[in-house]
Formats: sequence, C-alpha cells, structure tokens
Amino acid sequence: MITAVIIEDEDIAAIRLQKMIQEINESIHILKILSSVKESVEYLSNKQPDVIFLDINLSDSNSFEIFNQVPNISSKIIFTTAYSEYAIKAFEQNSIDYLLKPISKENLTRSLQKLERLSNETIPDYQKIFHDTESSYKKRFLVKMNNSLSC
Amino acid sequence: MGKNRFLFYFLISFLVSLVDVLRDLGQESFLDAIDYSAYTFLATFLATTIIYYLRSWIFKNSKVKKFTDLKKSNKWLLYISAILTKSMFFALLVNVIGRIVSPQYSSYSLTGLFFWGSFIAVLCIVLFVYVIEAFLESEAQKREIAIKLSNIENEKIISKYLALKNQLNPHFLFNSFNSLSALISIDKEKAEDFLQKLSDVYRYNLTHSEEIVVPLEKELELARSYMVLQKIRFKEAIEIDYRIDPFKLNQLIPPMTLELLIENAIKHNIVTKNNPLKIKIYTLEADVVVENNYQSRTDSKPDSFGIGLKNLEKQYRLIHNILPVFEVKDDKFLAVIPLIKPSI
Repeated sequence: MITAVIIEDEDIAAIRLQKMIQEINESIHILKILSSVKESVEYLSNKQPDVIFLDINLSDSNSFEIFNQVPNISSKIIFTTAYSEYAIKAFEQNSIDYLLKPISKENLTRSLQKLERLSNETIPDYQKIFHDTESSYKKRFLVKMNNSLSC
Repeated sequence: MGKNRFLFYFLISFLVSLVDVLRDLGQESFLDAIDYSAYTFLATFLATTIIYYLRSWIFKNSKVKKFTDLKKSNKWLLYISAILTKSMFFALLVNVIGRIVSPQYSSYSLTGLFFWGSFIAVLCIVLFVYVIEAFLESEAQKREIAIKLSNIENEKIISKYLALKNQLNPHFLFNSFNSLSALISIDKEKAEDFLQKLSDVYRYNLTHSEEIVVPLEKELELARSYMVLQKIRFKEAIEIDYRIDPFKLNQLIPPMTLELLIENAIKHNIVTKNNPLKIKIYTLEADVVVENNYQSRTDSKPDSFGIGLKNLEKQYRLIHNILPVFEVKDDKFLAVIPLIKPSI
C-alpha cells in the first residue's frame, strides 16, 4: 500500500484528482486533502506519506514555501499546476513528475507507474553527492604540452 | 577589399587590356599586341586597386566624414577635388615613368599631347571606380535600412504577441479548464454555468479590451461573471459585496479595470476558509473603489503594486486629469478609481 496526500487549494479539483487516482490504482491510500501552506506544514511536520500530489500555487502562498519550513520532507513529490512556469524549480525537490492541469488520465497513469517503480528504490540525494564530490577532485591539472608546461 | 570586388576589378582590367589587344592587332603582330597588353592589364589593375584604397582611406577618415556630413555640397566638392587630384597625380606618375623607360619616344611636358592623353585615360579609370563604388555603397545602405526595418517589424510582432498572451491570461485559463473538468463529473449544472461565465469573460476581453473606456455597468457585469468563476474555485474563502449608486452606472472607466483589481486582490492575498478574502466594490462621490482586507501572501513582494496597476495609472495619465490612488489603510487595500463623465 502506498500512502498519499493531496495538497490543492481548490476542493473540486482535489476531489477529482482523488477519484482519478483511485480509479487507476486502488492500492494508493489517500490520507488527507490539504489546501494551504499552513495546513500542509502542520501536517507534514508530524507525518510524511509516501507521495505528495502538490499544487504549486496555493491559497496562502507558493507551495515551495512548504520545503523551506519543513526541510526534511522525504516523500516523493508529483507536482500539479495549471501553467508550466516552475518546472525547473520543481525538479530541485524530490519530484518524480510534473502534471499539467487539467490532468489527463493517461498522464496520471504514467506518473503512478513511475511512482510504483520508484517506491522500491530510494531517490539518491544529489545534494549530498554533490557536496561529497565537490572537494575530492583536483581544481587544477598540470598538463604537458609538447615541450611546455601549462596549467 | 572583398573577394568579389577584387574579382570585379580583375575582370575589368582584363577587359580593358583585351580592348587594347584588339586595337593593336590592326597594326602589330599578335605576339607583340599580347606582350604589350600585359603591361596595360597590370597598370589598370594596379591603378584601380590603388584608387579604391585611396578612396576608402579618405572617406572613412572620421574628420572627413564630419566634413561631408555637414553639407551635401561639401561631399561633391570633396569628390571632385579628390578625382582631379588623383588623375593629375597618376598622369604625372605615368609621365615620369615614361621619361625614365623611353626618353626618346615622346615629349613629356605639361602641355604635351602625351600628358593630356594619359590624364584623360587616368581620369576615366578614376571616374569609373568612383561611380561603381558610389553605386555599391548606396546599394549596401539600402540593404542596411531594409534589415533595420525588418528588425523593428520583428520587435513589434514580439511585443504584440506578448501583449496578446498576457491578455489571454494562460494561468487563469488553464485553472478554469481544470475546474471545469472537475465540475463536469461532480456537478453538471454548475459546469454549464461555469462554461457560460468563462465565455462571457473571454468574449468581453476580446470585444472591449481595445476600447479606451466603457460604462461602469458593463464593467460590473464582467466583475460578476468573473466572481462566479472564482466563487466556484474558492467557495466561502472569497466574498464580494457591491454598493453601487445606480445613477453612476453610465459613467466610464478603462475596460478590464474591475477584473484586474479583483484578480490582483486574489493574487496577492491569502484566500482561505479561515482567512477569507473580502472584496467590496462601491461608488464614492466621483470614484469607484475596490477594497479588500489586506492579508498579504508570504510569497508576494512587499510594496510592489505590479505591472497591472502601473498600466492602469498610465492609461489614466493619457485620458483623464485625475489619477487612480492605491493605498493600504487600516489593514485594507484600497484602489480608488476616478469615474469619467460621458461628454454628451
């Protein structure tokens, strides 16, 4: 069983998304529908589901604010948005997909398949890898070119 | 010198020497004629090249440029003196060379036939180079102007495209499509109403946004349609209250003003069930006021009234002597928009 939370400020949109998810995959259990950054921060500080369906523009702020306030979110993120202006920023988070509204059943199915495939493995922490490798390579190389040496 | 121009002068010199060969064939043997024309070719080619470089050296000089840009007659004066000086110089050069190579052949004086003959020949070459260069230059200028014009045209198209895209408001449109697709399965009747209002909003946008001003009554109709859409989206998280003096319904404001102010209020404030956004639209003497409780979103930038409000102010600057006022007062955001009296 996969646990999920929907964060979406428009309740009819949230209801529709919930319905679609359950039609596609019954084993996904939706724990809660949250509608604001404030609610989400309170909820996610105590409990983190396997996956979060996250609308980018929420009724009280931008949803990236959640990551600032709860930095240790380990849930996988599927972003949902009406207009694709934040795609690159979204991928800085643990996002596994980016769904454009109105969400089509095909795209949602594809995302959920991706989710199932990934739920057995963990997403590598690129930030950590980056920091680990940062100081371990040489900053300069001495190269022999013909008869001269150059850095 | 560009490759094409080099080839061009090369070809011209070749043609000149060919004419020379044909002329000489009448009096001399073929071999003699060919032998002599090699010199003609070299001389012509060298002369044209040197004249070309001298010309571009003179006319690209910044001081000379200043002088010729001053008056058109200056340019002609300079052209004529440059052509004559060059011709004279080359004619003298030919005479000097002639005297060294074959002193017995001719009389080399300034009044002699040889001097004036060579002067005319050199003058022809110089004139030829000048005419050709002037022609090529004017062509290049024309091309440059054409390119500039097409660049300006391009920029215009881009800015028009951006304005149109902005007018379409993609974020609002796709959000509405999403609400609609949800409503279709949840509440069919509401979906129909939603679609109707969405069409009203976009029809108004298309038909009225080009006008300078529209009656307040029309603007209120649009605001009501727009609010139906937002009410479906936000439910009890948004409230609106209208207090309009019916005698002011025929007064004028720029199109899309009320919609813009409502949209701005939603964009910059918290809209939740616990903290609902309360909008009030009312007339007050010669103004229409759009007011909302000020509860700024954490991600909205402080003190920025946004492009929309700035644009509205710009519009007012052009059409009216009183400007709109935007201010935060007692936890309320106020947009005070002057009403314009219809002139008839």
